[in-house]
Amino acid sequence: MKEAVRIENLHYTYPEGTQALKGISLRIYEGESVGIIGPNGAGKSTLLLHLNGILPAAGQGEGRVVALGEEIRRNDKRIRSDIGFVFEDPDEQLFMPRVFDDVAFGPLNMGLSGEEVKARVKDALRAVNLAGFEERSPHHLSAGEKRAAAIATVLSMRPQILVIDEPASDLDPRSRRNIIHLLNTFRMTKMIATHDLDMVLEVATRCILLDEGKVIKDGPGEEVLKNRELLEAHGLEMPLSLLLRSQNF
Amino acid sequence: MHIADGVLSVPVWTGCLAVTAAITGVSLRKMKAEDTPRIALMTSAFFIASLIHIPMGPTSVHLILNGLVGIILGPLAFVAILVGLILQAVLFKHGGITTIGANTVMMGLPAVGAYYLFRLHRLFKFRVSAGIFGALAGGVAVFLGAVILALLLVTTGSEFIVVAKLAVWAHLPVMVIEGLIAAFVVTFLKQVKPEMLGA
Amino acid sequence: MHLPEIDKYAHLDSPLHSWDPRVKIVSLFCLILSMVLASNLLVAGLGLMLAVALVFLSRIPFGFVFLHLRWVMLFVLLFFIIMPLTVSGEEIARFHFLSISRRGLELASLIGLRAFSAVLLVFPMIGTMKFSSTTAALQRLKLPNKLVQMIIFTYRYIFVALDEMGRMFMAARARGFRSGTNLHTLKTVGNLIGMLFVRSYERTEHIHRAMVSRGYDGTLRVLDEFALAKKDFLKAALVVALALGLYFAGWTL
Repeated sequence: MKEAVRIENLHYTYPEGTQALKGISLRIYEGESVGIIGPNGAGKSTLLLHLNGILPAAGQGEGRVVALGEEIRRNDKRIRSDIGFVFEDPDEQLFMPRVFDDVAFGPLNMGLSGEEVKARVKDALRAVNLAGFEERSPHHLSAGEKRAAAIATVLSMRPQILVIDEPASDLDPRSRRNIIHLLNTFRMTKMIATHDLDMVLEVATRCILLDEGKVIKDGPGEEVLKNRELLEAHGLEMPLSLLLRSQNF
Repeated sequence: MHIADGVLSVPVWTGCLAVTAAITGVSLRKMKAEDTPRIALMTSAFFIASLIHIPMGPTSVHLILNGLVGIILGPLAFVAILVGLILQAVLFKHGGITTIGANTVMMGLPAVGAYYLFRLHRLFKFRVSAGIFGALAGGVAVFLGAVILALLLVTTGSEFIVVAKLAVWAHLPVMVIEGLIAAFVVTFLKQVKPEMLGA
Repeated sequence: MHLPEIDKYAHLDSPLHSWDPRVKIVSLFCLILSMVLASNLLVAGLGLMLAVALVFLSRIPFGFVFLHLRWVMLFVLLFFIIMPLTVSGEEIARFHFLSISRRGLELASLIGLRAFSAVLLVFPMIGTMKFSSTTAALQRLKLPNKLVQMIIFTYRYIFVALDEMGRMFMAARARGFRSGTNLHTLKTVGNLIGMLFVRSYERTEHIHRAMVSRGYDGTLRVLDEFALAKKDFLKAALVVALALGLYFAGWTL
């Protein structure tokens, strides 16, 4: 299997002194779908941000992140169009007054031609089931549609690695279900940080438990998620579906 | 406190437009790339905050907040106010198209003044100095705005002297309210997010 | 609180909707200029009729237009109350000690006609296209890129800030806040505004991060979808001719 991301002994301390990562080493292979779980403050978001190089310059760090064969440095200003980053709040991902302009934002910055940009916007919106939403305004979208549009803004750059922070927070059950279906249709390498362990069970082939800036457990999704004592020791709860199964309901 | 189209004389509104263009040009050159989203987001917040109506006896007044814009954004407040006024003219038809320059000068110059006035609070070490200077800056910005408004009207024609005087008088109670609001906001920010006040 | 949406009727079909945004903005701006410059009541009256005709042509419902005239009405009203009583000139009526002057009344009417004409023209100018077309046109008309970006982002986040403000006021009301003429109201409002500012401030870092991760380098690029046709110039010629006509009519009439 080809390696997509390699993280070697990564440390990071925020300018105000919070030690967020304390020596993380990981290898993620092409096509894997990795759920990253852990309590608040475990370091999930900080870890993901390293894949994009966008962290406060004042922070202290050491270690290496290599994605798709290239080392990523902090505050790297290059366009990382091969790593698509979807942030937690869609209102922060959708900063243009029209869905089209948001989805076209990345491709235009990549310097693609007008025709190519339009084709990519169309494809990306179709991929998230929002075909025909080009002219809509983000403030007229439902929470689920906003989430899908946020994903489209990154898909239009045709990334090889998709990094998503909390894809289903604040969604009603049906919209959450839609996002799960959507994530399962994407074939690229995925890294998904979330508190929604039931979702991890459905979308991830592998699960990494982080706490206090360290990798606590790394293994196949179900194996990590059915370890009740381990999860509870780190402030998490076993997914309900597994709990029910283990008690023979 | 917005001037609509069709009142000011041509030299007055074109002059204001030239002043606005010049200051905007300089400000934009000074703005760093990462300033753009920051100033824009704060402008939206000010825009929404200025829609709040404060009851005043039987009627209510809406907030102007130009002093606070200055306190928080510094000299870049001028551009923020220009953008806010463009959107107010387009969305609410509050203000005018040819008078965008006049309205920006009227609110933007006092905003920048408020910034320098507020900075003086650092010379004083007592606990509520930020609040007091916030009140001063907030109130003075409104007062200066009213004075500029009066000057623009009187420069346009002597027929407007009474309107101009009345405008200044009408802004006096607003000045008090704006000063108090600025003091409360500044005190809040001092506790919660002091770096927003340039600390 | 309610935010009017300027491009609510952008989907309609009219000669103004099909007009190239850049040419439309420039031509109608010329017309607004000619209205503001109207030097007598007759020309200003003609201007108002022309403005109403253009609104009619744009098919934007008059009800929608009327709702947006509140501020202009207040503004004009102020002049109508004060000017006739205070400007010296020929007296045309007298109530006890109040004397109404012809010159004051004329001046107030002139201001009113000009103000209404100008504001009415904003509807055919901006209301007949999506806001994103307006900003793209402004960018093509060489407005500084950063200024256009600020207009775009500010417009987008006005709606987000409005929701936030609404939630905060609702929470305050649920805890018993009632606004009145007192210091407590001002303090509560001050804290709510402060909270709104803090949230927006904290959001900026996230938004900037989302922009940078999609290749933002400080310049906004938009897709150039404009195509000029002969029709666009014909409409422009007509409107600019009307503007010039009004302007010169003011000298002769």
